[in-house]
Amino acid sequence: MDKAQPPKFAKWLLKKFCREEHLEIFLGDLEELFYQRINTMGVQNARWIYTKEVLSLFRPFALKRIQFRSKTNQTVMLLNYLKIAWRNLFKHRIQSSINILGLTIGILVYLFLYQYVQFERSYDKWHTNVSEIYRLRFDRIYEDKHDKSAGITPFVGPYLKQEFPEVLDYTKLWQFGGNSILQYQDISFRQENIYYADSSFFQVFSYPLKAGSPSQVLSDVNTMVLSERVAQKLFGNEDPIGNTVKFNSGGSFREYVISGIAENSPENTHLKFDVLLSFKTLVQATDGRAHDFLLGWNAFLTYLKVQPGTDKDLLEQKLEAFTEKYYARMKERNIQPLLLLQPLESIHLESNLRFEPEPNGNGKMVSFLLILAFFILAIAWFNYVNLATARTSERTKEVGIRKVAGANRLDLVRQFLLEALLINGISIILAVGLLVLLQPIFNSMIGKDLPLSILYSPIHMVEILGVLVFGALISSIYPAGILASFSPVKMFSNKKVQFKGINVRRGLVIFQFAISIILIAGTLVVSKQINFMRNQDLGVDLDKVIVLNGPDIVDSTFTARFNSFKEEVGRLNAISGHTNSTTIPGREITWVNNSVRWAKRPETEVNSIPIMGIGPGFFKTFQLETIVGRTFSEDYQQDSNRVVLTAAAARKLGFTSPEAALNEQVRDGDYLFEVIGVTEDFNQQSLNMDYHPVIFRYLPNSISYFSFKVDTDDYAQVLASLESQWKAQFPGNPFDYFFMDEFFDRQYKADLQFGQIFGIFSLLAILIAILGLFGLSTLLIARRTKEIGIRKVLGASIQSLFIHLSLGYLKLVLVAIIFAIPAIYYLGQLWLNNYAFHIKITWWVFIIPAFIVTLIAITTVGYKSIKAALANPVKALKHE
Amino acid sequence: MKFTQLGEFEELVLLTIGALQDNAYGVSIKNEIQDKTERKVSIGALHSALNRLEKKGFVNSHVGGAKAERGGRRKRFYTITLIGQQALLKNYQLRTDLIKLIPNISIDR
Repeated sequence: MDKAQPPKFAKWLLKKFCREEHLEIFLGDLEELFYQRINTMGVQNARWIYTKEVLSLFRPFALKRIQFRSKTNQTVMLLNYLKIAWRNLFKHRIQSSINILGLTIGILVYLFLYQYVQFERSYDKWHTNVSEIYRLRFDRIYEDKHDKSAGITPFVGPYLKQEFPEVLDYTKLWQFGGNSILQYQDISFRQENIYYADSSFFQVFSYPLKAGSPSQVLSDVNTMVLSERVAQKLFGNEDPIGNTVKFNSGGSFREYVISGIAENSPENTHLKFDVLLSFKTLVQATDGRAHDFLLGWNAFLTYLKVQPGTDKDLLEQKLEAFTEKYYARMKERNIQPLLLLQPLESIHLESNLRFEPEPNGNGKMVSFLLILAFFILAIAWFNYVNLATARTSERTKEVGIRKVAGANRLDLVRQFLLEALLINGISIILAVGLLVLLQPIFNSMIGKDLPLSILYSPIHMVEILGVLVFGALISSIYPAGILASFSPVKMFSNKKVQFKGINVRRGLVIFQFAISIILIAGTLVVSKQINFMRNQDLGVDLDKVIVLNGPDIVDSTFTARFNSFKEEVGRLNAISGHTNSTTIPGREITWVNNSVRWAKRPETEVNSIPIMGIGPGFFKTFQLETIVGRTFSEDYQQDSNRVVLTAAAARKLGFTSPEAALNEQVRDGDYLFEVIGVTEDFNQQSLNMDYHPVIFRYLPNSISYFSFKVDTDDYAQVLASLESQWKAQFPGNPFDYFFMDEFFDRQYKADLQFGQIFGIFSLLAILIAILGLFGLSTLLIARRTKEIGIRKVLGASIQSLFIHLSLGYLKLVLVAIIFAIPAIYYLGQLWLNNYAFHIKITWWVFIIPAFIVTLIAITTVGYKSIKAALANPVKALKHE
Repeated sequence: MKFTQLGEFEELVLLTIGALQDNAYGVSIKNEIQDKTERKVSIGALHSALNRLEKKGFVNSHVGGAKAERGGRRKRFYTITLIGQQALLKNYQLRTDLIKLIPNISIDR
């Protein structure tokens, strides 16, 4: 029988880690014990205990010393530099923590914003043929304005494909306005993001399909593609393909067969859909109008796929011939039509046209945030430069000895670079950790679900590391250069070494202050503008207005039910006004007629004016004042042939005053309307848009929205009575309500988020600057301990010392303010010009930030100054 | 001074080395302690203590006595130094002095 052996692995492990001098003894002891144990507890247990004992020997005294393979002078020195850097880190705890904290915050902000910007820029870039897809953009250049639209007539796409060999394919979409109801068996709900789309949709775009073939899914009449989430809602775990879903369009149901299921649209696409209906259905439902309309119906988004390598400018030039030929009538009316190509990838950040499927991002703001991030990083790096140069005098002895011992300049520069990299490295690690922790908070702040892209994308990682390493090098090369340049003789002489770089330091502090002032001012401007917009008199009163989405499921008894609903609601005491309309304030009016004119004007002078159909009570419910004339009333039989204009619409039609428009005739295509009144202007949409001209038509049966002006604070009571009436008159229709003022405020969501991000990051930038100032003043005042002592002994008061010590910084603040003022003015105007209605930049925008920063500087420096001034001068004189 | 301190386990090891006289090496010390105190001693803890004792100057060591059951490997024998003996005595003295101060306790009992 073989003799039992100790476990080989444990033995091997011990040999790996154990120091040579102990190895023989340990192995011997272990083996001796092993054979003793075999007798008492058996081989298995003995082997197990042997292994445990080996692990118990994993102790510092027994471990091998770490050996570097090549022990050249370089590596030895490198290790020494690291050791010194590490010791310095702990020796100057305050300075180190200021540097690390500042850099961590700076890097964190940079990482956040970098991710945000990358995300915004990633929109639609994931389509396979992104560089070959363009959206048609149609501009109308009037004498006084330039209208840019993403919508175009349905005829253009097919024509271009036929006429131009470069155009390989096209797909056009028409958004089903607002929302509508989907119904399958007993499940029904209201759904948004509904489009009619050509069968080429999934061939032009790369939206992935879960089920169905890309070339087939939308090719038949009455077929539809659902997003996964909608399919899940309607069918649960059932297979939806081939099932029939009822979809309500224009008051009547139509049945659609589900031919495909698409994956939920990714966050980073400008075109997010939940339901796609085959375009052929629309053509059939409109008796062909959706197919060959050249003029008029122009809300079709049209995307072209061109031959790879097609020159965009060249194709646009060729399109001119097309507009010349087909839009000649516009030219007669002094409108210059222009057909342009918008690259798919630029839609999200650079377009913002009429008929956008969703609110776009703002490319300028995105770039601006990235610049902001760089500035915050710069502030943190400047802290490092300031503190490092201010500390040079403390390290002259070390540098002197190194030089005498033979270090050359390059060695010293290398040493200090390594120190900077150590601090930066620690900060990067901390920042990435914090990023992972805080990402959810940031996401909820911006209302988007950003992925932690920098951790997964190697390109981003390289880019970020590049920036950070570059910054670390730049910020450390200057202090390193200063230190390395000292002559060793001077260093050992008792004379204090002249500090170098005082001016650079001052410059950097000025820069930090200036940025802080600009950021505070920016925060002020943004928040004031947002407040201004939200509190501005819109011309309509949206307070205490409850809006119901109109019923979609209707039948022949609708009119009777509708009238009794209105009657019942009118009896409620708590409701002081109610109306029904085709749209409501806060929504883009999509009903725009293009050939509206004052009947007395020639046929060439037509205008394109939005039209709102309203029932009685609209002006009372929204408190829109009339300037002249009257509004609609149920008492007049003929009101459906009459219109009310807003003042802007009256101007646009060519009336010199509101009074002049009264009783005149307005022609819309073949129809004549009499103007019975003119109202004040009001803001249909947020204040970054100008007053829209609006024509009101009397459509007492319009059912898109019901609005109720409530005269009580007991909303629950009102909603309960409304709901019971609703259920009684419109069974089967969901009771969807919202508050008008909140709905309108939604338009400011992007602005609010921008303001919030801006405010928080400004605060962080200022925090970093304060940290730096605190560190710097600590260092500089410590160096002047003796001076302060002598001054005190000679009778200086605490106040005079305080002033003496702080004055230098105040001068810097003053210079910073002078630099900041023009920058604030310029940048503020630039931003405010995005808004049609905006605040003026007044003196307080400059004064308040200047005051805040001065106060911060005095408190920071003052704290240290007073502490120094209060100290016992005897101690100060003993110093050194 | 830090080095003259004698920890509880170190004291036990030191006493055992003294008791074993010429035959004090890893395995024998470990077995002796386990026999006398019934407490489990890992070889790592023991060698760590021995290493410390040697650093503090309480014990000397020499190598020798290779044996077949150790795979022909040598042992490291430990002997108490004078400083070690003094440290033991000092500890002993301290304890007896202190214990006398406690009423109702008799060592002779």
